[in-house]
Amino acid sequence: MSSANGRQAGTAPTSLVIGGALVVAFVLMGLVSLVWTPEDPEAVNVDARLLPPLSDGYLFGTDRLGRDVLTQVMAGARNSLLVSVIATVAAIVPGVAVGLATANATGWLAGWLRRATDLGVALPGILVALVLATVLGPGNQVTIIAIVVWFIPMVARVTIGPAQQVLARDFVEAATAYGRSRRYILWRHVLPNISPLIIVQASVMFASAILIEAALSYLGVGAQRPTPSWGRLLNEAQAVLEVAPSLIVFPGVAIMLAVLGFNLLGDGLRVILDPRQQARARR
Amino acid sequence: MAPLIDAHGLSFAYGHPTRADPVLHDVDLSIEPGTALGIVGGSGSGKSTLIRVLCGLLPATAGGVTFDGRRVDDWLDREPTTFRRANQLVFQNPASSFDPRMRIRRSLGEPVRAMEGRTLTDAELIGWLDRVGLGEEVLSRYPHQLSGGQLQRIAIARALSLTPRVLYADEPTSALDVSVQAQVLNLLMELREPGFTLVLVSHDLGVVAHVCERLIVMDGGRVVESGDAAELLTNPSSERARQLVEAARAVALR
Amino acid sequence: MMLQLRDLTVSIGGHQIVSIEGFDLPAGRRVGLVGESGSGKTLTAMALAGLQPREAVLAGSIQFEGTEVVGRDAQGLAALRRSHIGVVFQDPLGALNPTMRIGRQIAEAVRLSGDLPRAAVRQRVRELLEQVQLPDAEVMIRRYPHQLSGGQRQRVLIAIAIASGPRLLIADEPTTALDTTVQRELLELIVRLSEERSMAVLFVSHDLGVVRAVSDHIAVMYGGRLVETGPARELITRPRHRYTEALLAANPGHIGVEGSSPRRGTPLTTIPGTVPALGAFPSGCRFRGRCRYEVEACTQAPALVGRDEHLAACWNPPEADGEVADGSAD
Repeated sequence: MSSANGRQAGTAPTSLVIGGALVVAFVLMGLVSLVWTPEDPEAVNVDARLLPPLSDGYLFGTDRLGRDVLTQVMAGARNSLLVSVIATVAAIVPGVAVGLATANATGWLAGWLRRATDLGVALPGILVALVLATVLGPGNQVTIIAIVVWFIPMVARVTIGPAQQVLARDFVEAATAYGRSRRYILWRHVLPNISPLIIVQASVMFASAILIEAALSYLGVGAQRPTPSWGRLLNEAQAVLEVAPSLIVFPGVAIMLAVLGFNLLGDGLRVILDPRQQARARR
Repeated sequence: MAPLIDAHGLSFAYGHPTRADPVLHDVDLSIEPGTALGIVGGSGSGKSTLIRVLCGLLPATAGGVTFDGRRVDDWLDREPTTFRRANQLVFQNPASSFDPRMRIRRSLGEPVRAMEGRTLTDAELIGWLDRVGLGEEVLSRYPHQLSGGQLQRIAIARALSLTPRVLYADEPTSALDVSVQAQVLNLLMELREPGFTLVLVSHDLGVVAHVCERLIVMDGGRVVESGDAAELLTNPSSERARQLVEAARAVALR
Repeated sequence: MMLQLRDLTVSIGGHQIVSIEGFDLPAGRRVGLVGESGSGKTLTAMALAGLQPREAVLAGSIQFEGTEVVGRDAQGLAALRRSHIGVVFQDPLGALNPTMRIGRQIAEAVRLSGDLPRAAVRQRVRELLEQVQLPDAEVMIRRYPHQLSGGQRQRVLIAIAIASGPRLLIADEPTTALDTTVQRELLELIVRLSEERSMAVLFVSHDLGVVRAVSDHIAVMYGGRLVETGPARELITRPRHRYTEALLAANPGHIGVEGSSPRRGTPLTTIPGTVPALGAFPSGCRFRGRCRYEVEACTQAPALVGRDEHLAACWNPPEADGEVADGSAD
């Protein structure tokens, strides 16, 4: 049996494989960095400043304070992943809840909830983040809060449509007829049926979160020293761009590959999860 | 005998009361226990909305319905379980009638689980499947693995598992092939017994003529004609009924 | 002979879904193609217009007015559809562009069939709207699809399909989603247009009653094969294939017969079993295993035989005088 896009059922799409590999690589990198890195990320070594890549003992070279770049990239992975996982999960739960509530609401409440989510989506995220950082001070916690505030309306908006589609199906009416409460229906019927979409959305959100964290750190309002961060590495590399151009490359490529990995993973998951639903519905 | 279901001045509208479009307007009807009543009309005539108001899924915005002598809103307030058990539905689209993520074993047992809090044993489930002419192999299947006819029969079994007094069937065979429709209609007719009332909504006069002895014709949210099915179909008195009968005759095989 | 099918097969993914040895459609005739789900009727109808799904592989011959359709390139097929074959689908809302006024959509169809000056195109659009019984052309032209009723939309689709004066109209379940009263009007419209323009019609439907109301001839399909073809009235009163007979018996449709519905409450005759999955059809006659009148010969695939254009592919058909065979095997 071949699926809608002609693939043989059972083979994973390329995007899933590549995306999955990239994500796993970064997760491993982050995990490993917890117990071991080539050097101490904060170890300053004045004699080994601005060494180029492939120098003896410094695979990616060193920065202007002699700190090993490879170590910092590994540690940065850990920070990026931590921030994006926490932020994404913290945004999904309330986001889905608001989305379900909106899909379930009728009358004027539905209208207002919808408008609220639209407004939330329209807020410029970076500005909100900067305002929060100014008020609360910079750091990972503020970054997480900023990302969560940015994501919740997005998640809510994405949830509403599919949730409504499920609510319109006859088995929901049947469940009401045999006495199931609205809450049961939302929790046990609607949610499981939209979970594939949420999973796909989450993987894309991971990618965004990594990018946002990098951007905020680059701007100086994200993780502060000594917490490692790719964004900040980029910023520091900018200052010595003419002398050591390679310093920009490593954090930049790391960010790019991590974001790419999660995006591809999301694409792959979408292919796996959705056509199966469609095939189920196609009877 | 007192009618089982009695509606007076029944109206229903969506949305804000002052701005609403009435979907049901001033409907009067009564259904004796044990009858098979057919409700016919074009799309937008209100027939699907009517049965949902009768079985308590939608609230009337004016007028009222009584079930067994008691108002439906009273039932829902004080004894919702008893009322809901007694009034079950089967829908038009069998594929949409089941949660795609649940196996049949789970879906079939849901009403009893919801109402009585207990899980039906496989033996009991097989008993219900047998009642509708299906074997136990469907228990472990997902809805997408079964045909429309099989799903519709399971839907009937699911409704029956609560031993309802009234079964509302909303276009139960419209999405099915003719030969499969015959199986499902036969099943509905087999269920007839003194305590069992069937309300069948259909756009197909042939189906309704074959199964029901009483008919209601709806148009624009109102009941335009009602009475003995055979009588009504041979000699319709309302304009709308006449149109429907002639349209059906145009594509009848006999 | 306007349309001739010879040894036509349509395969998808290696499975031969449709296999038709021979079928003729003379000019001006209305044929109803009847079958239940999985019969292959829609696939066949779409293949005739070159609209089969991309993954479908055609083999054999479809001759339309002497030109071969099988193997024709996309441009050739488009040209065919432009001026010779019109197609009407089941879902009018999906087939119309929701962002374009219908006047413009009909005009597009008119323009495709030839270069006409603007005024002539407008005039043609008005004529077409009148022909499909949508009065108030001025108002209609400016409407968007969502502002029309289902029946009106279907009339617009018919107008688009006949804009170029095609010789063949293929309609795939055009009335299935419509009210019975609207359906009746639409069927009468199709018959009228066919007679006025000497336009052949291939009307695909699962409903024998609908097909009988609109067709001169009926072709019944099962399992991708033609099992019976013949004049409509005769096929229905004296079917010559057990499947057709079973289909008729399963149908509850008998309205307003003088003196009430005599069969009410009695069980309808059902067809045992279910349609086999693709690739799981029995060898020989595809209806084998579900037929109450199976005989030994049924292990061989029967050919369409008969006389007076009433053909059936059945080894043990109902008796010619209308009585049913007693079902005993040879």
